[in-house]
Amino acid sequence: MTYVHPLKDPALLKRRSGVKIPVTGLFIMLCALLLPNLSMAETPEQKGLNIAKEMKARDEGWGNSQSNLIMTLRTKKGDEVVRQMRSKSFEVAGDGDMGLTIFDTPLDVKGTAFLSHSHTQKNDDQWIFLPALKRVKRIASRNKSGPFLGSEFAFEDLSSFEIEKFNFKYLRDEQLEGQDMFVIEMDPTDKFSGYTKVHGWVDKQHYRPFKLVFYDRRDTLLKTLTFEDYRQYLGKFWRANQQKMVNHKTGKSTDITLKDLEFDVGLTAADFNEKRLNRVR
Amino acid sequence: MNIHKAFAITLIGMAISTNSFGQSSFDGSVELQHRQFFDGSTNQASNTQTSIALSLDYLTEWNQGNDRLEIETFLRVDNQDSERSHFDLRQFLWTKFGNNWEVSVGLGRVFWGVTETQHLVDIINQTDLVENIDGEDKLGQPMFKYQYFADWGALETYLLPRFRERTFEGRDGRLNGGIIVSDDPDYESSAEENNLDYALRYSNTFGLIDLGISWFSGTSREPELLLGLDPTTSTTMPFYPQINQLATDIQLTVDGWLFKFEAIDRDYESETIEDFRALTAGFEYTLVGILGTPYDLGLLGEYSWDERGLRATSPFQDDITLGARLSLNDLSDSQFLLGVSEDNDFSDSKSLFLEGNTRLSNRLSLNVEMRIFDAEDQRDPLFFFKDSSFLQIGLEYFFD
Repeated sequence: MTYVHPLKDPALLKRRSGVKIPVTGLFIMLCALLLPNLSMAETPEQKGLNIAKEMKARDEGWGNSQSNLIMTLRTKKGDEVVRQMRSKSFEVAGDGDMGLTIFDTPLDVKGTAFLSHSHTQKNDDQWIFLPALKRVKRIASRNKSGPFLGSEFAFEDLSSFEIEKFNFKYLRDEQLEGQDMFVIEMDPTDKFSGYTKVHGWVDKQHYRPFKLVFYDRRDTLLKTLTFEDYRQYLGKFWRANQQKMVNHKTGKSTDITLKDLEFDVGLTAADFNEKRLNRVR
Repeated sequence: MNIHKAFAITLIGMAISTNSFGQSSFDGSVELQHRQFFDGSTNQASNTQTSIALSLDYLTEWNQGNDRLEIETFLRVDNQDSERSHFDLRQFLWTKFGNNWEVSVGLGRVFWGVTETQHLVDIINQTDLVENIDGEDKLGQPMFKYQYFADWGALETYLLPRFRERTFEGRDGRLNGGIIVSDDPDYESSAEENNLDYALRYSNTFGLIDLGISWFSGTSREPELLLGLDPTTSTTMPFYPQINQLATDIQLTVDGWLFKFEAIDRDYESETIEDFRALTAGFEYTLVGILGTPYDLGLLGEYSWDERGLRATSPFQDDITLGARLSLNDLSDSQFLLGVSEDNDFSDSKSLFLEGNTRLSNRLSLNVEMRIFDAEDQRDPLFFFKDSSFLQIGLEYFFD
């Protein structure tokens, strides 16, 4: 008997090549069946949460930063007021970030400083330094839905983005400015938030927010925030150098422009200590 | 005054030196202020009072911001009351910042406390009472200050080598409370105004609670006014006794509420002056976006008590103050604070105050203040203000 290796048996080879097509077909069929099944297993809530986690993960490790900020407030009639401030930020591993804002203009509030310690599991801590009285005052952070300095930004809009502050839901894919985006819904977990929900457009390539649409407590359209002029820092972290908030109810708007944003500027937790807020200038 | 000479020399030095050693900034404001009193005065003092105030601030830093010099000057010129025309170096302070410590030398200003209607605990600086009867304006205090920061809290220590007299309105002032105070005070300390006072404060945050405990030993910032009369000028001689004062200030921040508490225990070295305890306690609560508007409404209530009762030197011996602060959150940051104080010992005794401010342009602000006094009983300290109700309007221009 002549031994013929099964794989080299012409008859078998023929048979094998004969079934090759159905196998590939079956694989495609399986893929077609299984993949939607897999993503069906991931609920919109899970998908939304995963997108938010990826946003957070891609922004981890930025350390500390500082910038100059120009805030332009406009009324419906077109009246305009410009405010200049400096902002310092500090990343806290395992909790919310810390932020310090010092006002330069208008001159009557020059030297006023606002310190915030964001938290993931409890209310933020906030203090304000009033230079005329040399007084540091702890303020109630529950007033998060109130406007920041008469602008269209609420305190909560300027607080650091934390997963624990929202319940997420993936809504759909959509194109915005020619880029592929996820559209997600974020429902604030804090009952004192000024919003019932926020819809966010997040780009699929870098997981950066491009647009947020805010719905008030009566679930009607309130504000839209758009992020522009994204730049990358330390070869990794994206920051929008321009943010525009429009209030649809009042017609008022506020722009925030970042100038001279720098990372790794040597800030430490001590620079955000409330006991030292009176030294801030 | 030597301080003024030092100030002039430093200013010249600053002007000559280039900016090579750090950042510097200069700014200031000038305010035109007018007071209109509603009732005629018993001593023929004018119903109108106009003044102009100039503030100039300079700050420079060097050594990578680890050294700082802060200068704040204040000048007011008043058309009625010569005592109200005055100059003060609010600050002339050099500070060195260490890793977990700070040292300051010079004339400085320090605020202690948490309450709004009365500042019992705040004792480092003398009150510049001619500025405003609310007692929130302070004179620069010569000091050596050392502050240490640790995980267990912050510790401030002060040596205060020279005392500053409280300022009082003169004969032509309408808010002198019927007492003309002599410029020649008496002291209990044999060192007079050069008595070396000292003070300590520990403060820390425990979750929702901010706690401060302080100790002061030295010349009382509050003079005794009813002890002696200068026969030649028929003015009251202020007497500044020696005191030891233990104090605490506590704030509890829960959700939208601030709960505040201040208390002092003051011991006089003199046997003839009554030791006492006093406290102020209250709350603040803010309603955001009232009635669908962008307005915020802050509500505050405070109660003050003084162990001495009617013998108290403060008008807040058993008083309740209720107030409401309305913030319009407009482009001009317009705000109004309306408050009513009521004295539980004198049912007819009330005072009402309204403070408001708004921005007319980026550099021009309008400040309005109104105080209405109502008192019937001569034993009530407020009685001497009953003809002094006034409306004050200020226009303040800021520059840099």
